[in-house]
Amino acid sequence: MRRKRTTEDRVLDSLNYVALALIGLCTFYPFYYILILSFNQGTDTAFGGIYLWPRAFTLDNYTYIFNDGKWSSAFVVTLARTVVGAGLTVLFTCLVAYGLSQKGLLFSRFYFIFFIVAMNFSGGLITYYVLLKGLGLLNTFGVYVIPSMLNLFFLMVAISFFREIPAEIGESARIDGAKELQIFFTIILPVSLPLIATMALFMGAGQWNSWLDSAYFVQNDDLRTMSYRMIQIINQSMIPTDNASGQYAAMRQVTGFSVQVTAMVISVAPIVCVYPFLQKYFVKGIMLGSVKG
Amino acid sequence: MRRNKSVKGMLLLLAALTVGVVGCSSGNTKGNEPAASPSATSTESAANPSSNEELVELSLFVDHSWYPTKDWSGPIPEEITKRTGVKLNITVATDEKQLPLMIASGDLPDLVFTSNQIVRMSDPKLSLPWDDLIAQYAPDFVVDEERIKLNTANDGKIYTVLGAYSTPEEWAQYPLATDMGPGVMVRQDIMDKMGNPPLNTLEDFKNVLIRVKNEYKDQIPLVMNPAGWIRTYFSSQFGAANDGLVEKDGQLIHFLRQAELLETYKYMNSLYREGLITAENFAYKNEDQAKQLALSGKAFAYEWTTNGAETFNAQIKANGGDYSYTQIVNQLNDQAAIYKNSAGWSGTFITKNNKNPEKSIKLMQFLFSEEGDRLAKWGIEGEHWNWNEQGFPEMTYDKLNPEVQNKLGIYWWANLVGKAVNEGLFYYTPGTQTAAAEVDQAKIKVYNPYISKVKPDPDSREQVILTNIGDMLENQEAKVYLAKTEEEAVQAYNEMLKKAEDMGLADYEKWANEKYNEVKPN
Repeated sequence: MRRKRTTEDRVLDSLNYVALALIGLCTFYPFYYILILSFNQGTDTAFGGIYLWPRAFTLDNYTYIFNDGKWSSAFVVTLARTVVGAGLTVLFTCLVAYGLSQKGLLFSRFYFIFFIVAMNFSGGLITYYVLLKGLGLLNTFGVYVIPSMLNLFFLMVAISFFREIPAEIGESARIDGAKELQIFFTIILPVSLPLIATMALFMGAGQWNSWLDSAYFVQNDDLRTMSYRMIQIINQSMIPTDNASGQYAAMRQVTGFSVQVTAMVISVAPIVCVYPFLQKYFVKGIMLGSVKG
Repeated sequence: MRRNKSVKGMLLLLAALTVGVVGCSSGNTKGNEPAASPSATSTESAANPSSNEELVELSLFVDHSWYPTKDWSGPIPEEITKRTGVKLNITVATDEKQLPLMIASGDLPDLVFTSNQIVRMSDPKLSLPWDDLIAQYAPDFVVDEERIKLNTANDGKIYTVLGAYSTPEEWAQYPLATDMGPGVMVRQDIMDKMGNPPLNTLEDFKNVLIRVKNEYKDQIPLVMNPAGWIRTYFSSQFGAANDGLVEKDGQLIHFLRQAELLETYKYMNSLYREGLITAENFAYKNEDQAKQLALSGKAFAYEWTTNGAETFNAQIKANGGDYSYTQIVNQLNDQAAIYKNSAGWSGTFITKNNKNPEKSIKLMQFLFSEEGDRLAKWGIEGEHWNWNEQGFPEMTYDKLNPEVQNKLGIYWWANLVGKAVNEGLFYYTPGTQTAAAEVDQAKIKVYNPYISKVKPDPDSREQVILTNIGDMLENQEAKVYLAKTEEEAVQAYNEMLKKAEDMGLADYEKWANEKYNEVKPN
């Protein structure tokens, strides 16, 4: 039976709405601020006082960034690594997690200790570089997608997710004569769409924004990513203004700050566009690994 | 089942894509190299059919993430390639960690251009010494005595010759070769309204600021550029070295100990106590905040560089303003002095992985020569510049415009090895406030580049002491500036000095003097 709404209910509800609205505003406003600043002239931004609308609207910041000729190849590389990288990571991590989630796996304790240690300790940047060199991954597309194929954090999440799937499903398939790999691809994965969507989005966002590997591990200009190009542009706009040419450069309407802000918008925009489509998986995905009631 | 097929199909597609892209790109990397050389040699032979030199492509790493030009393109680099047979394949650093990573992993390119890692790169395990290369391949490459002494590394060999340095003789030879330094500018319109009061001494300057404070309430009398220029102009006027070590009575002392520095602090503190500078100024995070005060007309005087007034005036005009700044050209104090202790800025190292040391050292020789340095910095004589009888080159192109510089490939690659006088001559523009200010300032310069050789090894005890004192100074200086009375300011200064002593200042100075005795010329 539905209880009638008392005044108490109404007051609590309004308080809730107000609090959530405030929190929503606090979270949303910085992004909005960055968006309007990216459309505002850099030198005008330095005067301060812009809150709701760009005061000196301009597309200069965007044309400044895209003026550099090498964007098309950078875009292709970034797109390729996002799709391929996210796909490979999801596939590989799920495979490993499924194996580890099975009861009766030999040496499972060893594997778990191995992964926990790997999650917490790392050799550092230099040893990583030497490893990549030894594997022959430097200066290839592989350096973007292969090292990240096993994501340890999501491995743990996926293991607990797969453990929730009733074992009967797999058993009945086994009785019918299905092989393990078949069971995995035809039964387990379709049921795990929330997990896959969550992982794909996280990994995809990570791949999209990653610039360090493009900077340190790749010399070939055709293999550079979009995020690396943006870092380059930001660096170049930071020319020390003490130098006379720097001061001349500082006369542009585009400042170092406005370039950074525009780069932020460009890197966030695609993720924001993709997000609504995966939204429906997330609602389920958030409950991943939680205890069933 | 349909769903199976689509999932399986997608995964197969994914696998195919991976293999395809990985295969393609590695094919590309292998395919690129042979493709590059034939086209390069064909351009070279087309341009200079008589030359039978083979074109060599060397990789260069530029350890300056802000470098404005990032490829070897344009008529000037092409001309350099024509004369030396070397084409450079350039990578600009993304941040300052990239080079240490390359050093640690042993993956260095042919040439490295750096200023942060000079001591680290001067290592026989990483770089080839120029002495040996000169003896073997280019015995006619003569480097003057002074530069040899200044660039000798700890093991007695030379691994680089730093660019952006000139000997006092070279500076004397070209009096119009100007060099940017600290400066102060004032609003000409307000000065006119006040009847142009005299600005010949530091007292005059303070009095003018006080008048502005009383008569023009909406103006901040003095705004200082917070990005390292806060103390610089005033310390130059008091004849105090602004950082590093300075020689007093035959001994090297840390600049903090100078009596002249205390005078500087006292003067600036008096400016604060009279309400002529704001406390906020010391808290600005970047120079944009200070600059906008000047560009929006709220700052009467602005402390920055000798070319500040020209820069601001151009921008104010572009924004439609009707006022302008005038650079103070003359010195405000008899004991004004600027200490030029630099032995250069950044240098090129020929690494152990270098594919062609002969061509590399010959490239350095060419860029060091007057002909090569001027070509790289100014352009082709007759086409890009003409020598003016008064003693400077006149450019036929818009020399300060970074887009023009980029298109021509001019100026920036000359920094690999070159002379500071040629940079100074590049920037000289007659009739500008900048030129007047810099030529006047040249008179008070004191040169002692051997002090710059007194550099502690990274990670040594002296380096740690130096870093600690530097950090302490950054944190504690504000107390001196913002003290409420002169006694308090002096006390705060003495406290800073005591803290520095506790951190090991005396030990550092003792080490510095020992090192100085080793490196200075007799």
